[in-house]
Formats: sequence, C-alpha cells, structure tokens
Amino acid sequence: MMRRLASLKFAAVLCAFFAIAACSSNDKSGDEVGNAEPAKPGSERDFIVNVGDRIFFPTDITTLSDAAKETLRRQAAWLKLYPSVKIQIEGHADERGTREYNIGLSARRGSTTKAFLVSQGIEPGRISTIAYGKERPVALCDAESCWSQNRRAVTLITSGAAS
Amino acid sequence: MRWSVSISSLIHVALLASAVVVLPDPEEFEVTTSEAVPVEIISEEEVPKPVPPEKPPEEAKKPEPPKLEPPKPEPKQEVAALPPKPEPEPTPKPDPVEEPPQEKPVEEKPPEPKPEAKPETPDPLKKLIESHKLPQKKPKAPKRPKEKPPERFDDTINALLNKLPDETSAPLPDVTEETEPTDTPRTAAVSQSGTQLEREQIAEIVRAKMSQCWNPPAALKDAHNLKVTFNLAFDRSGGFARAPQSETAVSDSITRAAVESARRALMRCAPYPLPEETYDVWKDMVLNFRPITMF
Amino acid sequence: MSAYMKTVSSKLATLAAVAVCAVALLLAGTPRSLALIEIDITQGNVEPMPIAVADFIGSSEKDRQFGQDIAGVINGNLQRSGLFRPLGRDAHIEKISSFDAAPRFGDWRIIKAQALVTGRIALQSDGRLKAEFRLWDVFAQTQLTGFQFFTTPRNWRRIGHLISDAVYQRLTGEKGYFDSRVVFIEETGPKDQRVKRLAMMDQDGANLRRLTNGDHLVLTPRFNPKSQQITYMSYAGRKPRVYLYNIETGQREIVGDFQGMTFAPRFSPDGRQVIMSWQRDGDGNANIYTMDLRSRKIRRLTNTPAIDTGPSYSPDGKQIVFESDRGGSQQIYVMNSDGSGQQRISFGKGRYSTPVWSPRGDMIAFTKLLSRRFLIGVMRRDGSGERILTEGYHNEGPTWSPNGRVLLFFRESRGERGGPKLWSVDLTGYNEQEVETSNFASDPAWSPLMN
Repeated sequence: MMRRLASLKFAAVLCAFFAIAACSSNDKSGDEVGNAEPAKPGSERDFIVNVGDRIFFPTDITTLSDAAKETLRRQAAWLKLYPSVKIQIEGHADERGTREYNIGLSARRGSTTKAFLVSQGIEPGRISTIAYGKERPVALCDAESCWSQNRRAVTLITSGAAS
Repeated sequence: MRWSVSISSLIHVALLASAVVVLPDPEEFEVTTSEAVPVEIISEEEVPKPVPPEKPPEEAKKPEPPKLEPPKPEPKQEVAALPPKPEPEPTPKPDPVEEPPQEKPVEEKPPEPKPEAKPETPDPLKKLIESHKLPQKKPKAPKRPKEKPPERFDDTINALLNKLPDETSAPLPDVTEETEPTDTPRTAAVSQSGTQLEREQIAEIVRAKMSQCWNPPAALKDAHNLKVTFNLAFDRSGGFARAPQSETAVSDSITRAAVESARRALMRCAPYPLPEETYDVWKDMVLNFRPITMF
Repeated sequence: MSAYMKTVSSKLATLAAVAVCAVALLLAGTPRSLALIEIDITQGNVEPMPIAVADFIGSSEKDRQFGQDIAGVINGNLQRSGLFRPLGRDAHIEKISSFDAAPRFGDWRIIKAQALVTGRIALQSDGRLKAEFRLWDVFAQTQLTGFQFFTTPRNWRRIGHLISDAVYQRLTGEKGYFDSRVVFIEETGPKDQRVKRLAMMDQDGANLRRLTNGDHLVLTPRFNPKSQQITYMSYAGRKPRVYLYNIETGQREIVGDFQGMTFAPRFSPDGRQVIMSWQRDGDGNANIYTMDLRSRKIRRLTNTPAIDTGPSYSPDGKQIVFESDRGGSQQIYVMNSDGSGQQRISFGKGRYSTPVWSPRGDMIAFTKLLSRRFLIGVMRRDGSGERILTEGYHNEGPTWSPNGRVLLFFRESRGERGGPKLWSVDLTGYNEQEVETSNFASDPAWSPLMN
C-alpha cells in the first residue's frame, strides 16, 4: 500500500510491455499472459504478472533505478516464498551500441541485478546469468520508446515453479 | 536372385533410414568444401623484357614445357607470393613512418574536359596570371588535421567527415592550380638560358600535360619522400629525341610503379606543344615527379 | 640490320655522353648555365587508370568460356578497387589472337588503355586448367609481368583473383587483396527472431558457404592468420563462449574451460593464441585474457572494474589495442602484449569502439559513436591523425583488407524490416560500395591472402 504509486507506474510499464511481448512467440511468458485465468501462486505466470519479471535501464547505465530496485525486492520476496525456484537473469542492451561492448554492458546489467537479489537474501547458487547484448530486442522501432524497452534485465524461472 | 536383390535393397533402405534417425543433424558441418588451394605457379616466367614495338615475345613460351612437368615442385605457397619482385614482405612494413595520413585524396577528378584544350592554348601568360591568383587553393591539409583531436571536433558530424571534399580540396582542378608556388621554385631559381618568363611558360605547359596524363599509383599517398626523376631530351617538334630515362634507382615495388607510371605519362602526353622559338631552353629537361601534394 | 643497330647504339652512346655531361655539370654545382630546365611535377590525374582485359584466348569453346569468365572476374576486381577503370570489351579494337605475340599497342592507345592484360586458357589432358597471362604497358610497349598457373577447373575464380593481384601489385606497387575471403554472420528472419549463421565467401561475394545451421546465435567470427581456422562466439546450449572452427574439417571446439562468458575473440598474429574478453562468474565486468591454444595456458591482461573488450593485436604481436569504459565512456586503449603500459589513445568527442589494427601496422580502424550517429574511422597507432571514412545511422565493425588499403564494415538500415549489409570503403574514404549478399550480413572479417 505504501508504494502504491510506484506500483501503478510499474504496472503501466508492464502492461505496455506485455502488449508487445505478446506478439513475440518465442517468449514463453508472452504466451501465458493472454490467458485470462488468475495466475496460480508459485507459477511462472504468477511471477510475471504479480511480481514483474523485468527491470529497465537508461542508456549506457548499469546501475539500478529506484523502480528497478522495487521490482527486485518483490522478486526477492517471491523467491523466498518458493525456495525451490531457480532463475536465470538475462541482461540485454539496445541496438544503439556496438556488438561486443553491448555484450559486456548487458552482462554488467545482469550481474548488478544478481548482486541486488543476493543482497536481498537470495542464495547466489539459485541465480545464473546470461548476457545477450543487442541480440534479442523485444521492441523494434527506431526510437527511444523501443530502445528503452530493450535495455533490460529479465528474470527467467528455469526450474522449481508450480505449473 | 530377385530375393537377394530385394533383401539387399531392404537392408540398404533400413540402413539409410536408421542413419537418418540415428545421426543427429549434420549440425554445423555440411557445407565445408575442401579447402585445397591447388593453384600452382608454374613459371614465374617473368618476361619483363622490354618488348620493343611489335615484336613477339615468344621467349615466354619456352619456359613452359619444362615447367609443365614439375608442377608440384613449386610450393603452393609461392602462388600468392608470385609478385614479381623479390623484395621483402611489403605488408609488415615496419611502417611507423607516421606520416600524416595525407588527407583526402583531392581526387574527385575534375571535370577534365577543360585540360584537354589548355595545353594547346598558346597564351601561357594568361594562365600564369590565373595561376598566381588562386595559388592558395592548394589542397593543403583539410580541416581535420592530424594533430590532437580535442579542439578540432565541432559537433557537426559533417565537419568530421574528412573524406568529403571540402572547398579547399575541390577547387576546379584547373591546369593552373598546380603552380605549386609553395614548392621550391626550381624553375625560377637557377640561372640559365631563357628568361624567367620563358621558363615559366615551359613549366606550365609540361605541368598541364602531366596533370592530365599522369595516373600516379595510389600507394604514393604513403610514399611522401618519393621523388622520381627523368632526364628528357626533346626534338624540335616537342617529341622525345630519345625514350625517357629515369635516373631513380628502383629499390622497391612502389618506386618501380611510380617510375613506370611517370614514364607512361610522359609517353602518353607526347608530343608537347612547346614554343619552338625557345627550343634551346627546353630541349633538355629534368622532370621530378613528386606526389607530395597530390592526395 | 646490324648497321642499323650500330647507328642506334652509337646514337645512344652520344646521348648517354651528353646526359653524363649534363649530370656532371649539375653535380659540379656550378651555376647551371647549361640550358637545362628542371621542373617539379606534383600534380597528376587521380582518376582510375584505364585498363583493358582482353578475353583470354583458348583453342576450344570450353577454354574460351573459362577465359571469358576469368577476364570477367579480373574486370570486376579491378573495377571495385576504385583504382582502375576496365574498358568494356565492346570498346576493344584488336581482337587478341595470339598469346605469344605482342599486341598492337596502337589499337589499345586509341581506346586510352594504359595497360593491357592478355591471357590464354588451356584445359590439360590431366584435367587441370592452365592459365597464362601477360600484363602490358601500352605506352612503353613492354610486358610488365606474366605468369602461368595450373589448377583444378573448379578453382577458376581463384585464377582470376591471382591475376588481379599480380596486376594490382605491378601497377600500384602494393600487394593486392583479391585472393582472399570474408567470414561474416548471415542474418535471416525478422528482427526479433533473427537467425544467425556463420558464413564465408570470396572477397567479391562469390562462393558463399554457410558454416553453421542457425540453431545457435553466433557472432563475431575472425580468421586465424596462419591456418584454416575461425574463432567466433556462439550461444550454443545457452552458454556464450568463444569457439574455434576448422574450415577444412568442419570441427568445432570450445576455447578453454572458462566459468562464465567469453566473447570478442581474435587470434594473435602467429595464430597460436586467442585473445578475448572473459566475464567471470561473480565478476562484475569483462576483462581481457589470452589463451595459448597449445599449452592452454590462460593469461590475464587487464584488471579493471570496467568493460574491457574488443582486443586486436598489432601485426608484430607486440601490442594490443582494445576498448574500455574505465574512464567513464568507451575509448580506445593500447597496451603491450603482456598487459603492461595501458594507455588511452582516443581523445575525440564521442565514444570509440571496435578498434582493429591495420595489417600494415600504422593505423587503427574503429567505430565511433557521435551525436547518435555511427562512424567508421582510422587513426594512427598513437591516436593522432583521426580521419572519418564514412558516417550514418549505424555503421559498425571495420575489418582490413590484407593489404591495408580497404575496409569492410556493416551498415544497418532503419526500420523493423531493416538489417545489416556489408560495405567497403577505401582508406582514403572514397569508393564506398555495398558488397552484395543475398541476405543480411554483419560482423565481417577479412582473411589474409590465401596463399
């Protein structure tokens, strides 16, 4: 309740994102979002819809914004509820950088994200990371409105979720 | 008989099928065609023999027969090394000659139609005047000089585009513009026969011709100290009394290409419309090809 | 005849004597009272040199077809180099009928050819293809060079490339670059589901070969300068790692047993080491390491809390150029091959990335990000003399031709349907042109000359 505003804002961003993500068929989360049924607690969908699976970064920045930390705190709380869940954090960059540097940049986003979750009490062994650089955009226009969605770190559940 | 055939084919099919099922996709393999590089140089049969006009260079063929036999003796590696000259690896050029990467080639070849006429026009005087008017159009270091970057970066990217010909570098390449006023005024310096004006005229005509006919090899951009000298002897009609001879020692492939390009230019441009009344002044001439300011 | 020769030689002797006198006088330093005028020529015509490649002759229809095709390869190479202007065969006056006779130079002068290439093709009884060529100086009326090659007919294009290199070298004085290949990433599919394959083709775009099947994301391939090997990055098994690919056998292997991610690989000039970035598990940032391919020994070269990547050796192997954001933004640094003496060399406005050392050693090419534009440029090894060769919405990843005279890079077009294509530009910033590929293409890397 105390973070109402922030949450609302986040939800708005999330909705916008899902509208786009729903189009990308290779995104597992995307398929499930269209589903109208309430998410089962402890499921991937529960995590994505009720917690938020991704955070965003400004250009060439790898530190966490307040909104991002907020999301990660919720993620940490959820992960504590379901201790058998393992995750992988995908770091991404937008396409307005060079390939190799962007891989490094997205890796740094991933490790910053992981470090924060660990600081929130999540066992490091439950978290792996991978960096995609600019190779996996979710929004495709040539404008900041898309690039800002691509500069992201996505928490992916790799095992242990309720189905 | 029938039986064995069908059994055999059955087995074959089964084998094939199992192969398809069992073998994983030929992942990242397939396309590799053999890498062999079977090109062999058989004869380095350089026949750089100056074939004087129209004489069949049959010497080229004689080396063949023998070579034909021993194709392999030639290490394949030789192939690329084929370049005629025996000089040491030009690539790893110990380089750091560190010369300013000569700015953009001023090329943008000018609408060369005009030069065509120039040489003929017998009013070198006028040309002289012109040339003195626009001397500083010299394609000197364009905006993006080679020194420290900081101050020279203005925000406009265009300004960064050293490659774009800017005003300084794209002056109409009139024949006039290369009057090199900056260059050592060799022509004027020495005292000898002919008046200053006569000598200027002659130089002007020759330079105009060369600016049309000389195609300097691109590598000269990096050979800033290169100077190729020719001793010329003319007949009265402006043709060569003898074939142009270079005094420059050919020590490497770049120098050789430079010498040859200059010789080509000299022959291509002949005869030269030089004023007959000053024949004594120009019947012997030394030409120094120095591509310094060209690029 | 002999009388004639005598006259000529005596004339020559006289002339030589005169010349010697003239030179002697010059050397003597006396006032040059001699009527000797000396002129400096500093201005030439920098347009491409007109050259004619006559159809190669042959005694059979098949031979002649090969001959025409090979002449076509040569014409294409010379044309694309920007240094030559091949004259179309329609313009040729003389139809070369004998390889062993000098051409009628006058006929070639009329069409303004400065140089002429003639050749002969003959399929041998053993199945090999024999190719001979001569390069003529049309004005000096001499043969400049001539070679013959034997190869399997399948390799006929290489004959064209080898001849192109010989012509290029003889006329420019520099080694050529035509007998070489390019490895790159071929891209297909929509932008958010791109399929990337490792691919290789001849420098002129012919003989495309796809080396991986697109199952895994692959990036940044580079040639081993000494052998038939490529190093690249692959996400196979969702584990981003540096791999080696053997072109002859098609075999792949992971380079080293690294915990975490390895990327941005390149070979050392001797081909024995791979240099790359390693993002260790638990490490916040990528640093640069080398691994010896034989001893498997790993060596750490940088150690900063920054992204150190894009390493590239100088051709002598003594130095390494790389990029790092240790100073706050991406800039280019140079260090010794043992990691000592790290020093920033780029100081211009904007961010600098993807440095690549020229095979001649004197220059470094890079991608520069400035005002939301992506530029390709070169600078000297100490960072001075920066020159931008091209700029636009997105240009990236330059690679040098084997002779250091041409750069290849990729240019991304805008829009959801946009994608990368390969482009070349020469060192002077001129002669920019697209290298045609059937699909999108990125991350080009030029091979050394093949032989």
